[in-house]
Amino acid sequence: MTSRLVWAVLFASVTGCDINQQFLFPDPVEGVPGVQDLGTLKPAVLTNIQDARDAVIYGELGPTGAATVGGLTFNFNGVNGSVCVWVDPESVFWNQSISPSRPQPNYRQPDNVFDDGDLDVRAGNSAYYTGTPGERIDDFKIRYNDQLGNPVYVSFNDCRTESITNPGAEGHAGRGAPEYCTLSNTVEGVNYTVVLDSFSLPLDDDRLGYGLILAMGPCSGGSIGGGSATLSGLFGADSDVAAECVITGESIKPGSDQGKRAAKADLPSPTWVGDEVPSWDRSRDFEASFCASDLDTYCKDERKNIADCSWEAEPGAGGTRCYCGDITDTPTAGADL
Amino acid sequence: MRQHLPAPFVLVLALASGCYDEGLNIHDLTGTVIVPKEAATREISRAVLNDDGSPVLDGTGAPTFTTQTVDDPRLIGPVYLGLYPSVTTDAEAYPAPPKLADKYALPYGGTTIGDFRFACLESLQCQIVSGRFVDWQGIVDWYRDTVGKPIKDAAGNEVTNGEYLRSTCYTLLSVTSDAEVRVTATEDRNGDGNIDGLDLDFVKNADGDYEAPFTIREQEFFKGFQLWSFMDSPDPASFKYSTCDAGNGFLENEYNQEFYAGTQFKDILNNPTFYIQRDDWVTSQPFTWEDPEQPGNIVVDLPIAAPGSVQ
Repeated sequence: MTSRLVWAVLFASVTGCDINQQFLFPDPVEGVPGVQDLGTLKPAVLTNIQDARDAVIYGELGPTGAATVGGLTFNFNGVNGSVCVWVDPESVFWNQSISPSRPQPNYRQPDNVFDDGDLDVRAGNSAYYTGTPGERIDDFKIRYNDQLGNPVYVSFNDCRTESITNPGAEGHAGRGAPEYCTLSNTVEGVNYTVVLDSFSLPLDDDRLGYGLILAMGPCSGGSIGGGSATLSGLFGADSDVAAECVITGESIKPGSDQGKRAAKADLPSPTWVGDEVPSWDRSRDFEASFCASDLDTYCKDERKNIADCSWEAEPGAGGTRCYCGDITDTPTAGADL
Repeated sequence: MRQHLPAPFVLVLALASGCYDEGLNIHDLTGTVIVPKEAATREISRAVLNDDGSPVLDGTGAPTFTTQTVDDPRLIGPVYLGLYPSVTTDAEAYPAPPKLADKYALPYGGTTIGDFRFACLESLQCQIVSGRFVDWQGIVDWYRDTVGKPIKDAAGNEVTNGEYLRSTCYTLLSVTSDAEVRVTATEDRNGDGNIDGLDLDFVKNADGDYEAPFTIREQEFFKGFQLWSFMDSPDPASFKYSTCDAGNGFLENEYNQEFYAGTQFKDILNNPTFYIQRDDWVTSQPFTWEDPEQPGNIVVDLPIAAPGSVQ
């Protein structure tokens, strides 16, 4: 009897090795890659806002269907100077302000938390990148033996990104927020890899739209490719709010064909360049209201004029996407809505 | 009938007993750091004030100053201890851990003797180190009588009573004991029945230098790694520390106050030479650890004249 019990315990222990955990991960979305490589891009020379808007590459990323991290990669050749990588994931996110004592008037309305995703930027010398472009996202870590001969794994990620909630401190920008980094002193003839990790995908459709600019010069604090301003300077993007409007329109309608300019540039589908991106209706107006710190007006207007918002699921054909959240599903303390 | 333990019970008992040696080479490393009395001595100049608080002027109309030589453990800033594969003079004028690809030094571990504490007023941001003050009144007296920078409360009024500081901390931190604030001495470390200057981190030894024990807990041991340290001294003007990140730490956000308490930068052991400034002190002779049972004793003996050079 005892020996049977022991065998039962052992059997129960080993069966845990073969459970299929696939159900825990969202399935891949047809036509939307979980991992994608854009190939080699050329940093754009920007001298004005229109240059910047024309240089935006838009695309979509989806789930990998497994536990592996998804994301986007691309390469560029060094330019003997600084290069700016600027990415803006769909769409805009904020915490609703409900404090009666310290209200933030611009954030009194709720956000639609189902349409936001997050992309995190890393970049460095391609020689250190351990991923496989288009197949597997990885890191810039290398194994190094220190002076005592002990192995150490060192990250050669050259991107220093700043936290939006705590400017000056190192950190990723966070959900729905633009993130950028300057690769200083890139060397001509040396290949660099940029990795955008899909840290989170929108809950409503598992499709994360993004906009991306690769430009000559630093993102801030210097000049762009002989121009007189940085990318953030061109747009007056000296705050996290204003930075949202460097790239707009990254909320992309599903099911659209690849843009002609993107195809001509040999970018893989689904991608678009500049104003050919099929953005969701009103999404640019929504972003503009965020930049103008006028979300209160926008959200009240949306609530008044849009009848059938679809928050938790992507609206079907002809449906309406709402960018502000469900007012009936928010805390009631304090705020006068 | 013969009685015996069921097999599963025996199995569970064996696993739960903790008798299995995992072979981890992890130890609590202990030792002593000596800070020379010169590192805790400073010439401090203070403006001479009239009874109404205005400066006493000399014949030319300029304020007059008095200078006193102060030897006090409150001048000992946080002492950072790092375990490195090597320490060299390749990159700096003083011994320091080498950086990989000119980026970061790679420590195996480390600790600090004293860390930045929140003393509950913005005027004390990045100035208070644990294990340096005996009591609350000592903080008030130090800044008023020795440093010549009286502590100001949130309204800009001078704080003259240590109890005010204590009650402010209890209120802001929602605590009920000094031990929870960890700004003043609360343990009778030497067991003499009193809580006094002998219970601080650094205590004067027979040579007149300051000595503190340390423990680096649960450290993976690598034979031959070197213990190296440096002391961050307070800035002569602001009395703040260069290793303190004023934009981080505890966020005080209540009523009319909104500021961070300040905390250590997170990469100090990875990038120590970036933070070492004038008047800081470093260890010239790192300790090479061959046996985890052996105590690691070092002296922070080399004064820094300016970043990158020694005095």
